[in-house]
Amino acid sequence: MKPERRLRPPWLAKRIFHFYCDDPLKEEIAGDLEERFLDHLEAYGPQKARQKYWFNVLKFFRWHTLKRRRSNRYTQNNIAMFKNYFKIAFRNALKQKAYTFINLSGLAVGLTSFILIMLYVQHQLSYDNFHEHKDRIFRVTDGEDAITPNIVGPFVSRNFQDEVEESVRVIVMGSQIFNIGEKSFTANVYHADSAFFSMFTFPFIQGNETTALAQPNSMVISRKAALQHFGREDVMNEAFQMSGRNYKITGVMADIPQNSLLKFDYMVPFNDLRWAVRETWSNSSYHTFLKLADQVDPLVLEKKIASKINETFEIPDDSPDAEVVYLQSFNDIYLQSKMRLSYEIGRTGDIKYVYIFFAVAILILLIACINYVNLSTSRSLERAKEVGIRKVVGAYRGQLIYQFLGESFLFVFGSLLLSLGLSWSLLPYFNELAGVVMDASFLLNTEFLLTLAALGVLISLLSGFYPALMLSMFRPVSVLKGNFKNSAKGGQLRKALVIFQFAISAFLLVATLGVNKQLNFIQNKNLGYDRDQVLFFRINRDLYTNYQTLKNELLNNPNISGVSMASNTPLNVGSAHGIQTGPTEEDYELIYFINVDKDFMDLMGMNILAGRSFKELANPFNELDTTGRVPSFIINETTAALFNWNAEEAVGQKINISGIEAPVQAVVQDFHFKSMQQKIEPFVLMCSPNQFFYTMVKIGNENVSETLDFIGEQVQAVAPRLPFDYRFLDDRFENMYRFESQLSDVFITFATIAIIIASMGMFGLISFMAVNRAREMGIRKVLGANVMHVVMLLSRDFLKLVGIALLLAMPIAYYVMGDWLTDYEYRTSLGLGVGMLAVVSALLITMLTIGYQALKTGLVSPSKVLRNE
Amino acid sequence: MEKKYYLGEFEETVLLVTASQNGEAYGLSITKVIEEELGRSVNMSSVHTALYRLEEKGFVKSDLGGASERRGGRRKRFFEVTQMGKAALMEAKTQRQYLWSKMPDYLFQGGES
Repeated sequence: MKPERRLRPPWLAKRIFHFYCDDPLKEEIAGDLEERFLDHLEAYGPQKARQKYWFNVLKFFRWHTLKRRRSNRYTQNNIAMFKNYFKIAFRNALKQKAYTFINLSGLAVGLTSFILIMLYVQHQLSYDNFHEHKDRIFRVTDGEDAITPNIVGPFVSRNFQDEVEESVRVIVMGSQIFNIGEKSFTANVYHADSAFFSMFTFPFIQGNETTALAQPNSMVISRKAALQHFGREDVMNEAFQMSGRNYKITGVMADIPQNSLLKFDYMVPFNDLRWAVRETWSNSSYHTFLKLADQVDPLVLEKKIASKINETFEIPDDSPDAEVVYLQSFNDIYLQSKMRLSYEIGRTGDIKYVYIFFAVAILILLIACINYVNLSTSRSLERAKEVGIRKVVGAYRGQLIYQFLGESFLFVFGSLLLSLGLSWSLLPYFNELAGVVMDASFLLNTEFLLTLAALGVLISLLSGFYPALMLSMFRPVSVLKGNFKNSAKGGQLRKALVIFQFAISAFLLVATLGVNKQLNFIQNKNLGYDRDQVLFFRINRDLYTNYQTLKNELLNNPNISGVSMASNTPLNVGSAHGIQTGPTEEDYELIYFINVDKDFMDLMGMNILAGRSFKELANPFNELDTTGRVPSFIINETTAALFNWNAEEAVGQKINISGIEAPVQAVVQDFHFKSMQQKIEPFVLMCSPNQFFYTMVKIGNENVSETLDFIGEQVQAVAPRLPFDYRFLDDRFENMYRFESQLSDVFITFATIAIIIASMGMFGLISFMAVNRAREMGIRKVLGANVMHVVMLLSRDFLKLVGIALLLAMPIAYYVMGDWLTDYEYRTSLGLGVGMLAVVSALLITMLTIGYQALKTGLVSPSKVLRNE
Repeated sequence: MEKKYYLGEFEETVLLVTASQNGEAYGLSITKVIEEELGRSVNMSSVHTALYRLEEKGFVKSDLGGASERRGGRRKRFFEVTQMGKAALMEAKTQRQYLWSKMPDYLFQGGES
């Protein structure tokens, strides 16, 4: 029995003393204080004694009694203790193999995901960093299109000699035909002004950077191309033909780095493009790059350039027709944080997805950390005895905290090592998944390793701190007496963490299903034409001349149902005229166009709503002849809607395209000629035969490879120097949405990983819970509960948690995914289906995870678990 | 005469009491002796401070033991004088005796003469 309150020392003073006093001194001083109190109690009575106790406590508040971080007073042999910590950690790890496996593999998989995603993020952020002058390179744009008229470069150079050191125009010419000796192939070619290699950093292994493009008919090729076509790097002055012209190699570049926006293997002087040399404001097809002098503010310069252009055209700066100029930093182009431009020069990334991936990496890591916290705290019962004994033989709480933190360090760094190995071996698969090429040397980067080590420390603290705090808190008396129970508080936190884990998983699940649904929507949407089994290839003059022969030969083959020529494929049309929409010439809109022959629309399965097809009448554009023939225009529904006509009304109405007036010959049903992110715009089909660059062939489903061989032979027969580099329309179509399909793949992968880790955590939890509640279940069974009751009882708690997680995650996921979908002009809606699917799969996964353990507990005979009573 | 050890007046007192208690000395017991036998008012905390400083200087050594009900089951820290402590006390004593020996006789006999 404790003495009555006034015969005991004041508790507040005691608390204060324990708060400030250094651990090693606590015991002896507290003892002295108490003894002294009893002396005083006998001598002066309780009131005086308590007062004196207060004074003593306050007087002991001295420098040497204060708590300090590294007290080396009265310490024992620590090394032996550390050895014991390690030993106990390993013994525990081995004793609980399932637990150790879940923890280690969960952390390792989480960390591997994190490392791989971080590599990806780093790779994206490193784009174009290798250019020496990157901070001074800017591209001239009008804020909508990446391309500018060819006069802009020279114009700016002439007028702003102080600010602009160099200007370079670049144009990418697709599918040019090359001939080297007997070999022929097609490839994309860059044309650029001669300063290109002094502006951008692409080091040469042969030749001179500054003079390589100075002479006409010279060409710089990459090391890769040299090895491919000549089998060696030393190819200076070798000759070959491109598009019928003779070229000489004047330089060989080292291979273009993976993280370069500009990707090319062949580079020729800009001035070799005869049709592009004449400077004009009306031909926009060129990327204009400027290298600014030091300390030039691009924001000031862009205003000056705009004013100068307006001055030339005599437009006041404040008129709505005034030109605007934006100087886009070269650093911004790849991730395009500021603007999204049409006619981009290469494949770009998106800073948004870099953020999203980063967030996913963090979330996965969090799930893995939560596993650690949950499993450690739920296992606390098993470590409680150890803690009790350690405290009894003299461990301070601080030491115990260090011990348990140390264990989490062991775990985390163990799995960090494991995950480095995993990342190394999984990198090739990840590259394929994300559509990037990163090599493993990134992993050995010192900075990266240091960051990882720092991360390891952070995770260890994050996941080890709470368990360490909780485990070290146990009171030896209650633990060792044997009536120790898990604290309800820890249970609450555990529940909250499980909810959080499953909310993340459910969110990722919905996101995955959403991305997937949109992707399916795009791929199955009716484009307005039939893209299946259509192949296309570039043509040259030989083929153009002999086209009729080729066509007849091809159509003799029963597996070929259509042959046609056109200026472009309908997949991604980029050329436009202007169509007059009002009384004056200023009222015009851009109208996209392609030139096609009379078989094209049949072959593509395009639907004429009203009017006559090109088969009945085909007058070429721009060739008004003396008999007064006017060009045939077949417009799409969107164009007709510009004038508020329906299809029937539109036919015969006069429209004016690029200054030529003619009646509408027919209206074609709208079809998608750009990405689904953009809406369908005005479009016109025309039929100028001198504008045909591609042949399209529609083939049957059977004997595809023989049919392809057959086409190849026929092409060879009429155009021996033309390489038969064909592609399929639907492949190209898939390619357009490669980013989305990669996004979907990456999401599926990491959402699966997140769910697996979370389920493993739940499996661990239910196992321990089943052990803890084994006796309760035994008693329930003795009293008449059946297996089903027990299973339900054990599952109910978890299903409740998962239910709450779903309730939390669904609205957020729906909101975020809805927002993402607004990027697409043509989009699916998430609908209830996605949510239902996510809910059902989450519940199913939960049931599967816990069902086994619950069932096992339910089936155990009560006598087994109650025997020890 | 060179002084090798530095002992404050209070430290010397505490050290002497410690030595006199023959291994049974701890914070409170020393405080009691100083208070009750020397009739000098002293803080328990000052005694502890002095003991820890003496220990840092190497004049005493300590060990835990002797828990009792009266102390709530807590152990005491028993202090014992080391060889160096003894040497320091000897030195202090020798120095005093030396000074006493130099004392002119009349100084303390003035009342008698």
